[in-house]
Amino acid sequence: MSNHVLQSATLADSAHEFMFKREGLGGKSYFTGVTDSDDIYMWIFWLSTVIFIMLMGVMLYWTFKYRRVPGTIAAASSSHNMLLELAWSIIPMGFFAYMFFEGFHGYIGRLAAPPDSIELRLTGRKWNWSAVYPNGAETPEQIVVGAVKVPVFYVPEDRPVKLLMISQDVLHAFWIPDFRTKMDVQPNRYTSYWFKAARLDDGPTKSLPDGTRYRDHFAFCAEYCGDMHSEMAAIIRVVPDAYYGQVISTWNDAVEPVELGRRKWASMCSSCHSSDGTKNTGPTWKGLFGHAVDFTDGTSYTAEQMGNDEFFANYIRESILEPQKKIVAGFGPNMNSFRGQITEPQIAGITAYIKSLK
Amino acid sequence: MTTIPHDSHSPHGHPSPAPERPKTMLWQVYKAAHHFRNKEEEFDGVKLGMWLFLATEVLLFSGLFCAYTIFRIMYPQAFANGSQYLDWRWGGLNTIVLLISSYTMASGIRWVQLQEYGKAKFNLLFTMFCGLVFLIIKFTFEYTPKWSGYFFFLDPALKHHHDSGKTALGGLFHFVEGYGGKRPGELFSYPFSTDPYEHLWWSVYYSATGIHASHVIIGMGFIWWVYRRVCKGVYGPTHYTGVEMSGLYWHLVDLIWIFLFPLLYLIH
Amino acid sequence: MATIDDRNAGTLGDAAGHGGHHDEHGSYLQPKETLLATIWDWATTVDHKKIGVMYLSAVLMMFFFGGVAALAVRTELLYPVRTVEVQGVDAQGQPTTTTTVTGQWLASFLGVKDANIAQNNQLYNRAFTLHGAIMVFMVIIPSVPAALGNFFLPIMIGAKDVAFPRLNLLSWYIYVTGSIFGIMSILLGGVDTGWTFYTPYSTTTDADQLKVVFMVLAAFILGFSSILTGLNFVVTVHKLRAPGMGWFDMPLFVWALYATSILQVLATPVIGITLLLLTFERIFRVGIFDPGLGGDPVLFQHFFWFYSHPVVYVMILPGMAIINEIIPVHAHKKIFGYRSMAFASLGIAAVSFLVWGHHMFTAEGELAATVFSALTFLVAVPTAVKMFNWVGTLYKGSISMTPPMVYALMFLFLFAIGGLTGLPLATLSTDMHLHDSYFVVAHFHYVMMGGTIIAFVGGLHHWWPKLFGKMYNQRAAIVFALIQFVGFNVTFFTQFILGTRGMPRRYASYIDEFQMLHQISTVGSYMLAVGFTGSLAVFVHSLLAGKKAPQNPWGGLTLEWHIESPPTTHNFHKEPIVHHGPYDFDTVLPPGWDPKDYPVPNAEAQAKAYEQVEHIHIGHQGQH
Repeated sequence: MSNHVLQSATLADSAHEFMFKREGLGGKSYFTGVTDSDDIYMWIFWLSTVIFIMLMGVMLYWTFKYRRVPGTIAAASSSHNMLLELAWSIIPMGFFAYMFFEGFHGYIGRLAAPPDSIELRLTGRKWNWSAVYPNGAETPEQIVVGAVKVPVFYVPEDRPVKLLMISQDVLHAFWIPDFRTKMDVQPNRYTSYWFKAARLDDGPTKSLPDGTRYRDHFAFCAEYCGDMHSEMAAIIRVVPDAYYGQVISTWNDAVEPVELGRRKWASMCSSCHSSDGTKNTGPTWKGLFGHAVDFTDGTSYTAEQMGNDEFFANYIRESILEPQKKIVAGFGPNMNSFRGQITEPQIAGITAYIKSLK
Repeated sequence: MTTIPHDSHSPHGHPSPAPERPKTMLWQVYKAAHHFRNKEEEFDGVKLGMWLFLATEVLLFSGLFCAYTIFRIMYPQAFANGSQYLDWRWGGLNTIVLLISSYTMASGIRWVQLQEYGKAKFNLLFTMFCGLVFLIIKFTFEYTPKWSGYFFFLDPALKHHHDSGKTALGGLFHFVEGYGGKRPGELFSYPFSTDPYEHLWWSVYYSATGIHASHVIIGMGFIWWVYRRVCKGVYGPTHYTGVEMSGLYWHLVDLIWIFLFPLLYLIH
Repeated sequence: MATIDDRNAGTLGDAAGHGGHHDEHGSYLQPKETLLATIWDWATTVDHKKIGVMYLSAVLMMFFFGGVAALAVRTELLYPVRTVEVQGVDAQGQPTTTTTVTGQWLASFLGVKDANIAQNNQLYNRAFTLHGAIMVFMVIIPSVPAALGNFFLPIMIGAKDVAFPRLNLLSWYIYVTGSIFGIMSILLGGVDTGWTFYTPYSTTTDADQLKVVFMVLAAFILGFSSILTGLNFVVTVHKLRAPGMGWFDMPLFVWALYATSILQVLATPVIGITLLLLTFERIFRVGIFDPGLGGDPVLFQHFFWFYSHPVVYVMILPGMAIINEIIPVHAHKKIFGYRSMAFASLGIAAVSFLVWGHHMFTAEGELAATVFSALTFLVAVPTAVKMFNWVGTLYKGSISMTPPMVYALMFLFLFAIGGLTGLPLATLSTDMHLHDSYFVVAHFHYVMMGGTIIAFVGGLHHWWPKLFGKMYNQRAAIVFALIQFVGFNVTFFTQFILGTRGMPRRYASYIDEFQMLHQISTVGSYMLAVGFTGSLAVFVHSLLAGKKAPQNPWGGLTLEWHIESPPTTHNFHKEPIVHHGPYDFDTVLPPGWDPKDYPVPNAEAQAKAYEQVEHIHIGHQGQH
């Protein structure tokens, strides 16, 4: 599994690209909107390298040349030199000023999205990401990254995409290393940045089963958020513009309740509740219908109760909207309420989907 | 008053049994700690240390003032509402109590320097008494009604509310339905609030006044310690470091209240 | 010409009296008649040297715990956590699929049966929080000022003790109390907030437990200890300098500790109120930092970093202070640019209060980020000045390759990398990529560990003969120093590469392409463990079987080299009078040295120097 566009697995490769290629800041940048952060990074890198080598060279040379000979003392030399000291205080200021202005331009360039951007409303929660497209659709697709399945967000090539981000619980941060952008995702205010994915012709691509070319980029949560912080990833999949329009319109189609439930699970629930019996942060949904459960407060529901359609539907609804009321024995109170983020048909869909997981 | 005989060679000498002999008070034989050159250097050093410590106290409260300012800007209506629930008369009374205590504290130091120990002790005790009055007013007449809904029967606020007839402590406190919900954060349950963020006002109010009240208690502790030492004759015209330092601390506690009072009670 | 008034008389009243009636001419290490009496003597001592040694032992113990947590973190990262599906055939010949989770090193080491990924990650999160909180609050902050500073600052300015000896002892007990609170929170199950306690995660995690409150209170209490030590040092430097020592005659170690102390006194109260509000938040749910109640989590970050950024300099300035001492003494040469060094310390201290926002470039508004970015570059100037001055001091020196000098050169190498990698983090557009990545982790380890810890260990080697009166095996010390150097770079240089390639920090697992770099880094951390264990062995060997140390093994000129090794209880037999600067190596014969070994050029100066040494070198006059 390595969907990262960079397939470099050896230190030699990494070091080579890191040190010697102009595109050094984490391999090639696939954000065509602005590339100056790589430029300024490499500028700082080479400047630092030159200064470092000079400083260490002088240090080691003098340490060797002026090593102590017993019975002698150091030759007298000046203990300060105003001109020299002023020079090495003031000259670096010029370099620093250049770095600051370059960095400032790049930063502002990443925040101010062009007016024709596609706006993706991104929600972070413990511990997954979901995005709503301009037409109201959500992605049903997931792939395995590491130990869990993560959502795949489709974006068109060479068009500006703006992320409008908010968190449902604690602080998160959405980082797309290949685009060199990151911003904290906060629970009480929207934050945003934009990117323009490089054209598919400008780098390696893969093909979907129907022959459509695509390129995947990782997105990571970069602000520590708890147990499954390291599993809170997403895939940004760059596809041709026409395919993008087509695929998000199919996601918006009316679907069967079970499929609707599966999609909701995929985007919101799957990071904690497995569908195949695997133990995770929350109880698995496999075989939940008609299966007795014990709660941490000592109460329990019998298999008969859980097999009753109406009773079961109410239990699931309560668990989604007021998850702290009944906590299954052996699990922690980790879930937040989804009130306001989920519709009644979606709850019904999730109930139907759980029932389908025999 | 503990004194030591004039001719004693030991610092741990016993009180003289003969009262008519000339006595040496502890402050007269006081020597600076061994690593200081003399008493004056030691006094300067302690004073510098105390001022630095007071600076840390000011910075501690500056965090609270900062939180106050930010939330006032974020939720102006909640803070305007909140300060109207406070009675400036109680706050003003407490301000006067603390100002008087600052005066008596300063006088206490002066009387110690003049060797008028009776007056000094009275002033120190009165300062502590003022601290106690401050705390009683704070807890009984300010915190309790807002927290529990029981108002002191003379409380002017009581006239404006519907008296439920429930009383406590033999009619000293009257209960007003729903008025005991002015609590901080999640505990807030005041049913008549008109702004959704009023609980933050109470969070700031209780944090600031609570931390200040704990400083009043610590200050009283210092003064009690100094009072006991004045009784033992440790301080006098040439050595009064402890009294001076607890005086500085007490003035700081007053000063912080002087800032808290208008911010919380007067600005609407 | 010695002028001294009898200060050793018993004191009365609130004088900070001296505990016992021990022999003031004997070593401060001299034990009492019985073991119990010795323990009681140490537990109630107001002697700054004993308190310094007690701090040193406590800090080294916490360094061990923090180091073990670091090794746990690195070992967990040897393999990524993976869900593996194994296809098989059951007894009936039907195909089966078994799902297992691999790479859960911490869970399997601690014997957690059938751990799921979340449980393993919880262990990892507790391990890195433990590592961070212990290393920052209990090791790095008190390491140099409270341990070495306590011991040497009064001696270096010619004082018998710090200004408030009993307050000094109180600080130590407060430190121990704070550490006990921290350990209690670990015994209750540990906390997973990260050492930064970011809200709202820290106010909601483990909601039914008090252990987060314990850890927060631990940091709060340790802050008190830090404030009291700082306050004590400021007054000591102001009031207790020996006659003849003006401000610009002070050793640079004292200058830097003075700047550090001011930072501690001014910054720590702000974290005090922040942690108090965080405690209120957890216990009473006051909501000041809780977005659900209208509070602001970014306000917490501002408060937190308003303290924690100056504290970065509380950590590094004392490290620089040690290098300021080691380099001139072991190069036997006057330090280059004494005044610019002293002003750079103060300058760093002043600017450090203006740059806290650079920890939040991706959280705060554009205006704040821009202003803080510009201010951050200002810190780089005095830091660069110090670097140049240190290297400049080597020019035309007479450099002995002793273990402390090796550590000083290591410091220059590592700190240069740490400083230079700060530049892309201060630059806004590159920080958008590098923020919260392994690049940041590597950067601050180069500064905090390659800087402060290496300087601290170097300082231990420099002052060890004075601390305990024993020499150590210098060759072995250099070997272990080099192992630490190689191990350090293997561990952390790889993390720069990981960071630029997209590895976020505080991750219990990672994508496959990072595995090799992670494994190299883990191997490096084992080398570091070997290096530090080796240094410990060298010191233990020295204590048990080391040769007696001479008064002045390296040829230093500051006042601690004018007295016995180890020092007597009152440091100086008489009040010293300072006649020469701390780094006048070209005109003064180091005390206790043979003129044949160190021929000061002109005969007159030599004689004069020797005469001066006689004055200060009271220990050999035998009066009193």
